[in-house]
Amino acid sequence: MTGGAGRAWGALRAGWRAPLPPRARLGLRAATVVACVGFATAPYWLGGSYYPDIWVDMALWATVGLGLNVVIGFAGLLDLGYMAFYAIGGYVFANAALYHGLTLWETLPLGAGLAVIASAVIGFPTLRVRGDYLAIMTLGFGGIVYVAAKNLTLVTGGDNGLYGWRAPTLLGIQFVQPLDFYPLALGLVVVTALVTTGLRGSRIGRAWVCIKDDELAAAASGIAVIRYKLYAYMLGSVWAGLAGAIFAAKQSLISPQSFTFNASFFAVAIVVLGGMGSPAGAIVGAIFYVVIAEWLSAYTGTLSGVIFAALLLVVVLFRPAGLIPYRPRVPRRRLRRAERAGLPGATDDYRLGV
Amino acid sequence: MSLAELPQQIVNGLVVGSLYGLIALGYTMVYGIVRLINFAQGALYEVGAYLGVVIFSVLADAGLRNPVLGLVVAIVVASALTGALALVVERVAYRPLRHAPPLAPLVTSLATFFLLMSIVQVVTGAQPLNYPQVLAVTPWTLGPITLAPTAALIAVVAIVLMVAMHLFVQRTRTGKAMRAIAVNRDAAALMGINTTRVVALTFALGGAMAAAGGVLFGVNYGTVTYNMGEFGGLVAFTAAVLGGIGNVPGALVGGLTVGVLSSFATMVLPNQWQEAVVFGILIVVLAFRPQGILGERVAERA
Amino acid sequence: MESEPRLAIRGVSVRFGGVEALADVSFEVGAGEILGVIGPNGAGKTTLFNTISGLVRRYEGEIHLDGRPLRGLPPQRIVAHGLARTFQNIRLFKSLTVLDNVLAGQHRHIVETVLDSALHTPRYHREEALATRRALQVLHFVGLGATDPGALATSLPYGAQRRLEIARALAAYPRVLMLDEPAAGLNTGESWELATMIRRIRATGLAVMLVEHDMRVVMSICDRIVVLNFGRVIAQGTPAQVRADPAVVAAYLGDAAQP
Repeated sequence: MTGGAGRAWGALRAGWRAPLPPRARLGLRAATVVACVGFATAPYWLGGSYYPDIWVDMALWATVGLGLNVVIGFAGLLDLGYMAFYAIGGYVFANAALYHGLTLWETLPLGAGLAVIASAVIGFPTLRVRGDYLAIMTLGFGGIVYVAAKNLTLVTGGDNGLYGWRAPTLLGIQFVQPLDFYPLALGLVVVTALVTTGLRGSRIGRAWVCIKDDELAAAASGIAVIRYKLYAYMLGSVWAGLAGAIFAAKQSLISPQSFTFNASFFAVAIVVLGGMGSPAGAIVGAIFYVVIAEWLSAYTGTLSGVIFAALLLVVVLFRPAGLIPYRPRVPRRRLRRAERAGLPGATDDYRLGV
Repeated sequence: MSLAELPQQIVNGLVVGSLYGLIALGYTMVYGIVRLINFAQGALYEVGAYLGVVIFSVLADAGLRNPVLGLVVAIVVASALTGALALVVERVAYRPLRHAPPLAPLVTSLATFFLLMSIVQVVTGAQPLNYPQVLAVTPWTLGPITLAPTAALIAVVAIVLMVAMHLFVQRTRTGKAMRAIAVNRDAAALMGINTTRVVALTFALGGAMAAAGGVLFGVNYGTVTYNMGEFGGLVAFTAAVLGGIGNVPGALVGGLTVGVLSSFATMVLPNQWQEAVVFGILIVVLAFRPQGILGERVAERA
Repeated sequence: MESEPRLAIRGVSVRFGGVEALADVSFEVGAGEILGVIGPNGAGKTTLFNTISGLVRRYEGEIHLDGRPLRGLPPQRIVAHGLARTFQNIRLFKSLTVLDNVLAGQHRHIVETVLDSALHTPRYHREEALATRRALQVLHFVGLGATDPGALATSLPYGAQRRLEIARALAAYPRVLMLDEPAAGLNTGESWELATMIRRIRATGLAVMLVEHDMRVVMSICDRIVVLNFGRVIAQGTPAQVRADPAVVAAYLGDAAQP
């Protein structure tokens, strides 16, 4: 085990290039699982009171990163207003909880649904334009949502925000402390990771990457480019809507300060830093971000913005694929099964007689 | 809202619009020749404005009291320093990524923007800084319009700078080289143009104009804040797009249009919605007339 | 022609500004036929391809595929009607694997809803398994049977990338296949292997249309040839007829004898 893990570490440092021997691969996988489980349960064995907010924030930013990864990493659309959907989820929750007495559990689908509708409404006219123009338009959209959050006092509470709802409960347990929300947020990370990776390995995910690589060739392969961009935009924004609702519930206060342009920039930075298209990267990027922006800032103050931006710059310049580059998944088992099912030996037809 | 305010709002809009046009030059020139939205431009404008504060206070310490001379020195020095900073930005964030996927330089320019803004925030402690009053003369009144001499001065300076830049691009050898690169970079290189140097120079000129805009902004409003580059940068970009990105006279036309439109907006809507109006203009123009007022259709390069 | 042609081009003209890129071009391609389009550089061959595949949308005249008009359809709808193409400068999806490139070609033949994709339902597994088998068969057919399907497309040698691009087009199960300079950049041996492969494609009953500069390939495999010059068809017929046509000799072979 130790030998395997040692060699696995060596391979890890070599940049994942060399194919691993089976024992090392097993060791690596075991080490990864142990590390993940260890990290995910850390707030409990670290005593829980240790920076209680940080753990939930990591999970929420990881969800944001995973969702935005669909838009940027898969489909190659630079979205600089992604946190608008997070804001929508948050304000939907706050309104539902304050004025309609809905619980978090009833609100989650509502927040996600409204985020998706908003993304369709904004995506429909914008996704036709060139990539760099799209970035600016989404920036403008994020700006409009921010201004609306500040000024539509009736719905958003303006600068003061909304607060004062009753803490949500589930099975008689009240969610009061930030850490109470941790299992929920962690569950959301897991679901988001599974679903987005699932999408990547399917027809729709392939279509997204085709569009990112070469729009013309994608259209010539029968992919409806604009429609699939819209799908990416919508299926990316769901997660922001969900995470935003949990965020509002955890903060027990929601105000425009959480949805500035800076927040959307950080979301993009998380995806790029971690590795575009890489779900593990999005999670690691989120951890980096929260550590620098929340934990480290206790010592560095405003310097954390400088540190994070500089880190992003360095990564894009010297490790453009990100900290944990995306590696294409090959469906080995499906391939073996296809081989076993047998192919017509003759090469006189490319069509399979099925 | 009353119609009597209209002439005054137009004048106000033209004054700020000329400033936005000046900043828009940087976006439009860089985009014109390398097809990159240089987000850093917004931060360069902010850096220029802050350098202006420093220069004015150094001049005051040195005993130079002539306000107009002070303004000229501030603009020249701030522009030179910011132009040099823009060269660094080009060298670090754009040049290494010339052959990378188009998303990469966009992300680095965004990161540079954020980095410069954060540095300003750290250095100044996020405190707004004050500009000295340059022309302490009572405002002129012309019927319903009041115009502060300072405002008139900055509009004149901004327009003079833009005309100078237009002449530079149209009349000089270097300007001709810029236009050649905009049409076809490879062909320009084959004709013996040092494209790397010309591109760098374009970044520098854009940065210099942004700094001039920053100083003029400070002189006009009296205060500069650590996040002025965010909104200012976006308005200027809107101006560049509205005028037709890549088009130098378009920057002025776009700047004046955005200035006047957002100034009208303040008549109809509460002041806080002004930003949303600018964002709205940006989205609508990009969606329905991405070539802008003066621009030609920008074809997606295959 | 007694039966309906697979692809019929009737009086097609395209203008770019003041330049007439195609002028009144007419020809047909039938099932089981290889049609070559030749002509000097700038004769309008690529414009012709782009017009048929829907990348150029403004043209006069009519283009029919299996009797159905293609006018006004976006490229992806034209693919759905049964047309697939390759590009002169290979345009593979560079961050996808070999297998995924071929699966991308099958886009319109894989039946999955977004829910199937997201949740990996039994239907997802069924569809992906079938698509994978089909992809392997196509790879096998183009001679990439021994290539690792999990390798990145761009890691393949140049010749193999050309084959992979053809595999991606075939995976769309088209009625008409358009190859834009498939032999460009290939050495002599690879060119002949390619010629053999195109003949095998024809044998499956597909209508093949190709633009090619390599005259030996064109003359040896094409059933008929259309010669373009300055956007006009100056000759069409069998390779022997075209080679003997004085107009062709003057306009094309005469001044541009290079392969």
